[in-house]
Amino acid sequence: MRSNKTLKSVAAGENAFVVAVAAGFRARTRLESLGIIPGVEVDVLANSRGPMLVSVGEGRVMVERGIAEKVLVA
Amino acid sequence: MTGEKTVLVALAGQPNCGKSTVFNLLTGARQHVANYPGVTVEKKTGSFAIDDIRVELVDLPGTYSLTSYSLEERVARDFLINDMPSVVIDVADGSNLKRNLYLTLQLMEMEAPVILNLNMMDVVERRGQRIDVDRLRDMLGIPVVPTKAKKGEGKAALRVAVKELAGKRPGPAAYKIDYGPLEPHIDVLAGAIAEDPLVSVQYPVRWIAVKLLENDDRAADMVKGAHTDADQALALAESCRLRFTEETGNAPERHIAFARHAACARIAAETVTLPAAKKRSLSDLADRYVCHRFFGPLILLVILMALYQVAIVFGNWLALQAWPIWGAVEDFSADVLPAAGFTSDPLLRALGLWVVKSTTAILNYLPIFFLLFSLIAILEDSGYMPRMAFILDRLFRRFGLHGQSTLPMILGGVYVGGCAIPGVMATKAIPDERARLATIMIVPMMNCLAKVPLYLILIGAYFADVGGLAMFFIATVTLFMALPVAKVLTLTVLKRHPSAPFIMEMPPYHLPTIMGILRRAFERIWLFLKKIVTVVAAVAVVVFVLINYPGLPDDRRVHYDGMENAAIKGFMADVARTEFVGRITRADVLPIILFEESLKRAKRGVTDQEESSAINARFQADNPVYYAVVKREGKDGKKLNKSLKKVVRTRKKARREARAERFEASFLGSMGRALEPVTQWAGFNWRINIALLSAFAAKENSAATLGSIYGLDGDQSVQESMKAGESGFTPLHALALMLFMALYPPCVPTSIMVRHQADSTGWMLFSIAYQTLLGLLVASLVFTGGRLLGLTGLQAMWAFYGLCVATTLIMALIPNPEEREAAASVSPEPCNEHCS
Ligand SMILES: Nc1nc2c(ncn2[C@@H]2O[C@H](COP(=O)(O)OP(=O)(O)OP(=O)(O)O)[C@@H](O)[C@H]2O)c(=O)[nH]1
Ligand SMILES: [Mg+2]
Repeated sequence: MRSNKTLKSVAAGENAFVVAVAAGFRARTRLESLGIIPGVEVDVLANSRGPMLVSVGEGRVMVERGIAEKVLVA
Repeated sequence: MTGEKTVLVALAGQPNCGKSTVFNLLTGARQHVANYPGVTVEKKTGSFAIDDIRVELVDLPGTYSLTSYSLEERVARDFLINDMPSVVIDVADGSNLKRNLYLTLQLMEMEAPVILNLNMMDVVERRGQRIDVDRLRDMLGIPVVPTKAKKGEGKAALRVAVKELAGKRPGPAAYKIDYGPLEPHIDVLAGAIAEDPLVSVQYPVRWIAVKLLENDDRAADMVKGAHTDADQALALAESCRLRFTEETGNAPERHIAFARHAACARIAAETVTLPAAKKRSLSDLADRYVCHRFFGPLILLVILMALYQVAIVFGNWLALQAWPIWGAVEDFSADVLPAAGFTSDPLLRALGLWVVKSTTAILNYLPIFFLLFSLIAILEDSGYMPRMAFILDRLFRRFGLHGQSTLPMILGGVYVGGCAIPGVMATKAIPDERARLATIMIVPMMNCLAKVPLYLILIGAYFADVGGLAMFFIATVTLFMALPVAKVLTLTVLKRHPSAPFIMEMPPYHLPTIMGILRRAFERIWLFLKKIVTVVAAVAVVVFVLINYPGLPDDRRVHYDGMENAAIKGFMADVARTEFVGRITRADVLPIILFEESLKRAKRGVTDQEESSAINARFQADNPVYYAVVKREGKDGKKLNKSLKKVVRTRKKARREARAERFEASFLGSMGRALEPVTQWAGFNWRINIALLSAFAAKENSAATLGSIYGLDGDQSVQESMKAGESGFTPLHALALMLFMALYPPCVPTSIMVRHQADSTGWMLFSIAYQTLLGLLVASLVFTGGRLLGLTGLQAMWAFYGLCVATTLIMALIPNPEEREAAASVSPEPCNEHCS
């Protein structure tokens, strides 16, 4: 079963497990090099109306909502 | 041979890990350092010596990876491949080792001679992490050097490691990433490549094989450039890729990225001990408020207001206090340059004073720039800037800008008093090409400091009773003009330019140190002085020539000589009736006037009674006769002084009129006249046109030129003499002029910077052209429209303000190009297929 839940729908303070990154090529390589790859756990620190703020390991990454929508999580 | 040898050493690493700090530590240079990822965008070179070895050190831009998809990654990779440095210092943020290893492993795969520099060890310690350096060294098989670059610790160890590695022959890397099921394909491909003598000498074979499997087009180009039978190799790579995808159902590039991350995780797991209790860091705690949806913008607003208060309000006060220094410079040059003439001055004096005045006009702002630079250094060091980008991204997006457009706009003067040059320079960090160009195009529309003197003159002369309101109007209306312009540019000329998604690292806060801030501020002031003052001085010379030549026709010169002779004759007739007869000749008249002027200059700002008497005594000893006339000593002295005053008045009048005529007949003056048919709709006559033309060199020239046209010799202030000189002027004229100034094309130094940052002369010309046209359009709209509707200056002001705000709101609602595409391509079914 594939899940349709995306990173965008994860509320602040919750965490999620990245399943797939279905964004465009540039965005995907960027996310990959920042450590957002399938198999990692991310904490969502902020999710209001601007970009999202997520925590991956020791790093914090801002991700535009349009891209967060393409990161499938479980 | 002295035995001295030179080695090339490169600094590579992920953004914001402290490469430039390490660079500065090793070379003693002053590279720009900031707590903001992506500060260094071009490679920078410096050098230092270790014993008898000269080290050429290259600071590369930060890269998270070494693919060829982004500019900085290409720059870094091409350097490593083409220049083959003897040592690569891989600077890694020790507190985020796992992610930093992602780059380290790729460097090792390229068989670069890597030293792993674990930087930020102080942060590692503070967070209670532990790194087993020896174990890391064993696992990777490369030298590992921990440092705290910001505190200057670890310099010696790094130097030793560089020296040792530079002497060694490079061998194949000890550590290899295990690509699992891809390994057989790598072997096949590597085998085929190794048979080619050219490629296998130029590039590491295994690395080329992996890159080809990763479908890296630059690697393909390299093979094409070197391989004797490139097509066959590329075809083999393609078939390997296909086969792998069939076998595993996974694209090779993804598998490769995974395998690398897995390797990093494995190494980090064995070498890094994280603190047992995962407590929330102070940074995260602060970000709960700083990045909060309500508090965030509020805090931002408070910070911006504080910035304005300190840099502009307090800075202005400081500039006022410092003015006597620049005044003294002007007085000094007035004293040492060849003496003035009656109506016209010797060329050396005229030109010298012109250049000095143009330069001091900018030096005057030094205190403001110093405060601004210090405050920005604090923002940069603390790590608040990435937060600012985070908060404003949403608003700016609506206008085709980017979160990272914030800093350039602040530097340019969003409120009042910035400078477009550092503003345009700061656009470099914006990764989104389209937003970057849009930002470059609107930064010159902000209210830079140099526009302010003209605003002040016009408001003082025509809106004196509502000065505060008028200042608020001009300070804020620019933003409501700039945002719609950015949007229009995005929808039209910039439509085809690529836009990049906003994905950016948010670094943790650092506590800025006072020494660090001051050092940075002084460095930037120094750079500013060197670059700007030379440009301003050079341009001042050009404007001087354009505004003074071809000069007065002969008959006019005869006319002014006549004025001079008549005045002197009158004075000499008075001399004949006093005891000074015989002691003052015709040749003394001008020297007496100059004597009086230099006495005035000497006493400027002197309040102390004793000091004042000392100056008097000095001048008296110098020339008792002149002194008696100037100081009205005795009955005859008084009489002559009165007569002298008349001569001085005539001289001033002659100088003013001659100058006005010279300006009008000059190259620039003819241009001003030629422009009148167009500019009349905006209410500008040729005198205003001249002032505006000269402002292109540097905007403070507008006020200076107006001053000289209306007569700076008088005791009246510029606004009063302007009011007197332009009897037909109304507040509507003034409003149109202010708005034109607000939209004025970037000055010469800014244009040069635009050309540099946009990397095209075309964009520079575009930026000059569109702002000129827009400025004329707006000024004409306000002036001609206002006149037709019979509006007063104040009514026109607010009508225009309303128009701008309304346009901004409408523009915000129009979707951006990619939003349209997205809206068009939305399918009723949510994507289920290709979301692997
Ligand atoms: N605590 C701590 N901070 C450091 C250390 N080294 C550098 N920094 C800080 O980290 C930030 C980034 O440093 P830079 O030298 O600009 O980093 P960079 O790698 O050149 O960054 P880019 O040019 O953006 O790729 C600055 O605020 C430095 O003051 C260190 O050892 N400890
Ligand atoms: Mg740097």
